Amino acid sequence: MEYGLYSNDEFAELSENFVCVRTYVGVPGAEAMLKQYGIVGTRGRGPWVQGNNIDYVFFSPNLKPLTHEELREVVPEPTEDSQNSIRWRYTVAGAGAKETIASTATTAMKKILERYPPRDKEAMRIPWQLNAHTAIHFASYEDRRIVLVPGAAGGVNPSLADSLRDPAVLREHVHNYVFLKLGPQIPNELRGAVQQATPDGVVILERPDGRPDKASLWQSAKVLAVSPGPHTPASLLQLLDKQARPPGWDAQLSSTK
Amino acid sequence: MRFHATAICLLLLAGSARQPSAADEPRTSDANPFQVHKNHVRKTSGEYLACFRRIAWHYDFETAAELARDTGRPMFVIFCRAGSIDDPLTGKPKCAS
Repeated sequence: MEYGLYSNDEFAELSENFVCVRTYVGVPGAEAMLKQYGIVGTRGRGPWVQGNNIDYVFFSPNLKPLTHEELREVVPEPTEDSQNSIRWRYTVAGAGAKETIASTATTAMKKILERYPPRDKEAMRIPWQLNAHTAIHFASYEDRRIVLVPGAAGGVNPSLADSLRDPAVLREHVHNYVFLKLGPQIPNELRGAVQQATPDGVVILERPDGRPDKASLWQSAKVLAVSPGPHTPASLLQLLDKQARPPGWDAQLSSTK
Repeated sequence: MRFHATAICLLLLAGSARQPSAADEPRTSDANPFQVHKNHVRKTSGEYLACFRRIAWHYDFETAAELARDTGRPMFVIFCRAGSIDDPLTGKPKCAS
């Protein structure tokens, strides 16, 4: 399903007028986030089952889920009826069929944009990961390296944050990296690198091989670069240019398609 | 005359050189990668990964919701269950959906 959607040019173009969120049930923290908004959480037989299957929902700009019929804003409830009214994959004709996945989604997106036309404002933000679990998941699955930003209790160093969110830096690298703010608890495996980076520097980690089952999340983390601050947008751009990993770790396999 | 002797030596050397055999082919896993996990092999192709990078994804609702409110943009939220697979290339576990 994802393949038909993300590779669709119209979907990609329309997505620029949406705030797009991608997450996973089963990754610590992410499931709670979905439950909070009534998107998942009801088990049972039928389309509301939390299985391996992908699904999607639309929200209004003020965070109200939209029903697929009439695109009404609703208050989410953790019930199968509520979830079936907002989730598309199994309850909307054409939303799951390979031939119509993209057109069903893009038709809905156009209607939603008529109702909620976006303001003409810069819409770039640093796409912070929810937590270390989601960072490792997405870096591993999407073949991205991790930009690890040391953060004390007060959060990310303001000067570093300004440089990171500089449009020239973000436009170039928002798709290439997974961005993670490290809280005050520094894992032992990363302590040396984080101390060397200083509070206004960054650490670049190689794409992990996956989420470890029981071992420490960072046990096999490979530090590629430690870049102490202070950073300007230009110095960050230079660093990220150098360390970006192009997609396609399995170029050999993809050639056998 | 000397030229002929050199040429003959070269020809003999070339003839005696080991010919490529099936054993010289790059080693690949005995398992068919498509049978290992056909959907994920397809999904993790470079082409597929490049498709992910066409979209500006957000991963936490806090950042996304603030951006949506600030810019008047509606939200598209896609999700599925996370799992792991054995990467057919490295044999190591790898995240998958």
